[in-house]
Amino acid sequence: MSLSEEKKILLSQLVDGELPPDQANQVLGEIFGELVDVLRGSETGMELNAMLRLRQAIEPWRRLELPPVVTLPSSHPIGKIWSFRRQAIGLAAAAVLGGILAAGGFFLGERSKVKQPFVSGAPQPAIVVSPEQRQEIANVFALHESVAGPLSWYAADDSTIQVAPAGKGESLRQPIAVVFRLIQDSTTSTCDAMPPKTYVIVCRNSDPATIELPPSALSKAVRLRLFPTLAQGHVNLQYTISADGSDLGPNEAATAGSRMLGLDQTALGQLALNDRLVNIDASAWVIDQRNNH
Amino acid sequence: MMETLNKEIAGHLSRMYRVALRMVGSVDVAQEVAQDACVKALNGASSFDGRAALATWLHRITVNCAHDHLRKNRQIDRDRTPWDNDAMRALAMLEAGPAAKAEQNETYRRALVLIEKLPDDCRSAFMLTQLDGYTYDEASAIENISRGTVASRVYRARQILMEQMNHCAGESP
Repeated sequence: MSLSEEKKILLSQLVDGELPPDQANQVLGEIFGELVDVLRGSETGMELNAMLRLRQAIEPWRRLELPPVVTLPSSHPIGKIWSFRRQAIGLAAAAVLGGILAAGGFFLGERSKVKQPFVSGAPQPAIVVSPEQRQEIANVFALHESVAGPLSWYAADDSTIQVAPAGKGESLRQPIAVVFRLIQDSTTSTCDAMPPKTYVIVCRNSDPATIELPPSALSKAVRLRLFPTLAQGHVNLQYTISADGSDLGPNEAATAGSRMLGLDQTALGQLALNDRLVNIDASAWVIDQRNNH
Repeated sequence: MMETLNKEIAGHLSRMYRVALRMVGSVDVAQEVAQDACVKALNGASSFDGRAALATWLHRITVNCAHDHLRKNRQIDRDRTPWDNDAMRALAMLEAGPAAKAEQNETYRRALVLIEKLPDDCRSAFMLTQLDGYTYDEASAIENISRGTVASRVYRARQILMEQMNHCAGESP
């Protein structure tokens, strides 16, 4: 293939030593193999060739990227859910950072480093979403958006992350964080006690979101249909929450309603699964993207 | 500002992971270390005043997180971590290839083992530039030595490795 005019001009500047260093490096890198061939047989060529072989030998290490850590839980995606494997490594990177919610002990009693022993019948400690945790959620969401583009919603538990890209032309309203907690009612359930399950959702003001959450010890897949709006500084959340129950009988339970949510947990209702009653509560706040929390 | 820094940190993540992997020698642990380092970087973003290059700052955080992990897991020799099977598993993740790749993989494995045995000073400069992918200027800032010293240490490491690899392969230098 003949050289382009542009390439010839670059080589001309290289000969005179007139290329800026970064451009010189780039040009040299491109023609290095050819240079080595020309010099083969000479001492210089042999030295360069040996160094090049060594560099190529360890190139696989330099190409190592973060392995994927996100699993997409649903085989029947609802809405616009990306297949992780099609995405560039940037999403893997953001997914690792998304895991900071687990590292930061956010998912109490689950796989977080802050272990909370689950005692059947004992009142569950209230989740107080600290300013630091709100900051973490804001950071994680911002980082996912910075590598994956604008998102309609984000959903995470202690082991999985889902993101849904915003459609082209879709106007992006203010992000709202919602923390859901599912807690088994140990006084009425007939099965073994299970630890609570926490989900962190970020969705958009006045944008409906349909999210299928992965199964847990408490239930099979949980489906959320959410419509958050802002009212007097609080989040008004219209919701339908449904879940598949156990294999013992009829399989779906649902609860729906509308609540004003703040930082304190608010009860949303219960899911009557066959062998257990699961209480659901939530807290919500607006993510201020100017200050990022 | 935060969004810009977030994006920049995301761009360094794979390199932080490689640094962690060569220090702790385990894919799973390296992910955890990289994750911890990201938490600290994001939480400490307000303290990044830009005087050091971002690469230098993130490298320091990653190394500290790796050392913390090694210390908690009672690995006394903080600077030398054997290449375990995970390093090769990480390579296998890159691409499965035909049988011809087996020789390349063997060369790669041999190089990693020999790098571990380099003298301390030139091993560090070599790893930073050839494995982690830092520029000579970045490695100079990380090690707090001149660029010229980085270049000479990398060169010395290369000479030692080429000699040893030729010896292993039965070639005459």
